[in-house]
Amino acid sequence: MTTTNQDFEKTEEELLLKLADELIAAGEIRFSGPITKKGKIERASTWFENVLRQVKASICFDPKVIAFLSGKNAQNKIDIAAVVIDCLTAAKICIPLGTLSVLIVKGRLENLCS
Amino acid sequence: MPLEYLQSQYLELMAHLDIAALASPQPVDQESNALLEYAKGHEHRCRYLLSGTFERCGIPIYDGEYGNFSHVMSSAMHSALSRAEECELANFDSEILLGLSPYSSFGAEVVRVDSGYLVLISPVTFSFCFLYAILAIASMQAVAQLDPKILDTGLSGLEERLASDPESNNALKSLSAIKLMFDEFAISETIKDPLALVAMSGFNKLHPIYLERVQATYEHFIVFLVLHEFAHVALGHMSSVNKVQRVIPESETTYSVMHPLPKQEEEADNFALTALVGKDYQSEMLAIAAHLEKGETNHPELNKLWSGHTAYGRYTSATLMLKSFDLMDFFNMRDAEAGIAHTDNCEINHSHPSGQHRFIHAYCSMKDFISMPEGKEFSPKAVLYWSNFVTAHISYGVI
Repeated sequence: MTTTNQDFEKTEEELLLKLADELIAAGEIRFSGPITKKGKIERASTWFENVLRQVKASICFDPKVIAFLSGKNAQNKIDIAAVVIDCLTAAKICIPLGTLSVLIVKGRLENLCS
Repeated sequence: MPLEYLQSQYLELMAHLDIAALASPQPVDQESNALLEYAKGHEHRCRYLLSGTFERCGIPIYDGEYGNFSHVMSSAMHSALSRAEECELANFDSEILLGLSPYSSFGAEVVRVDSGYLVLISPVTFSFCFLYAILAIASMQAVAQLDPKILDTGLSGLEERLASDPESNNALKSLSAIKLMFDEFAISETIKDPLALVAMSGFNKLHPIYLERVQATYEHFIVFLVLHEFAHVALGHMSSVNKVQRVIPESETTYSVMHPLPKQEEEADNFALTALVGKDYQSEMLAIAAHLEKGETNHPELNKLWSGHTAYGRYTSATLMLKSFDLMDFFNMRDAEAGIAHTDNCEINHSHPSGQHRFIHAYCSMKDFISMPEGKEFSPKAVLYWSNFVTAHISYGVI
């Protein structure tokens, strides 16, 4: 599994919308009727925050993540996304993990592990 | 898995959202609630209230105190579960907990958690369902009073003809109340003055039995929504992770789903309709048919038909709920940024059949869900007649 620079060019809103679609497709959540963009972002954000609480320790104590955060080499973000994917896999997160890993590395990693 | 554990997961999921505030809304002034006065004067006291504040519509009545939606939810959960069990459809692979969702938009949803499932309903859904139940029932009755001849001379000048006839004018106002409700709700996700819409609908002019009909319809709406979510669990839709080809996303979505989601939504509707109708309805419906065939429209046994407490009433409520999805699609699609759009297959967002399709499917399938002996058939034509007026008024502006 790899992520690309293209994935990191997306806005957080675009990534959350993508995550919401992946949650629906993976059977994590189902709705009684069609849901608006705003509704999708709300649900994906709630789910995302919950996952962050679950995986915080395993991500933040990973030596590669610690090294990345101390050096903050932007070129390494794709490699770090792969490390995050490993942590998410170990936590048995049952959706495609690319979008989720990009959301974490792009917008949350520093605050999560501060 | 103990219930406490599942509850703790629910609370954890909602931890950063102020769920306590949702469960205990502050009291509001009920002094000017006309429907409350109407309900108090009725022999059988109303189980629910229409609040002057939309966010509190539908809460149960308690003397001297204000309740919250938890009682409605508890009742809906028990009702949905017993209906699913009666039809031997409660085949769940894990425990299910019903909760109040923290979201502001309409709808029910089911979320998978480690040890089970959470069915969530947003507070605004209760308010929406209660107000819509009032307006839909009032409007159906108003439309039913129309002289069929008024349509004979065609659509040209119809609005003027309707406006000049008192009965027709009432129907027109009632339809306008529905239009205003969906129009405002699509924009703001709330209704500023629900009592004004109720007054416009002519609800207070109806026979008291329709108060009971509204209560029944409201409860059927909520139970239908819960059953729809139960269906996703019972039919294995929440395990579709096994059917997803897991590929890391690049620029576009690269996973594929073997079973299209709209088909699963239709299956969930069918499950909910089956359970809502129940199993042992034939003798009751045949007795009602016998009275109707004799022209006994005032027989006391028919009261349960008028008040919605029959398999036919429950099915009719479900079709009204599905009509509301059709109306929501229409109003949401005015805003291109809302993210609600038709696909080429007349589906919405690749996730659901269109509300129009769901309504028509339910309308056309009634005989499959309420199976009667040959020669006996209950028809939901009254709903279609009403729906056509609603569509003409709202979608096409014909009237």
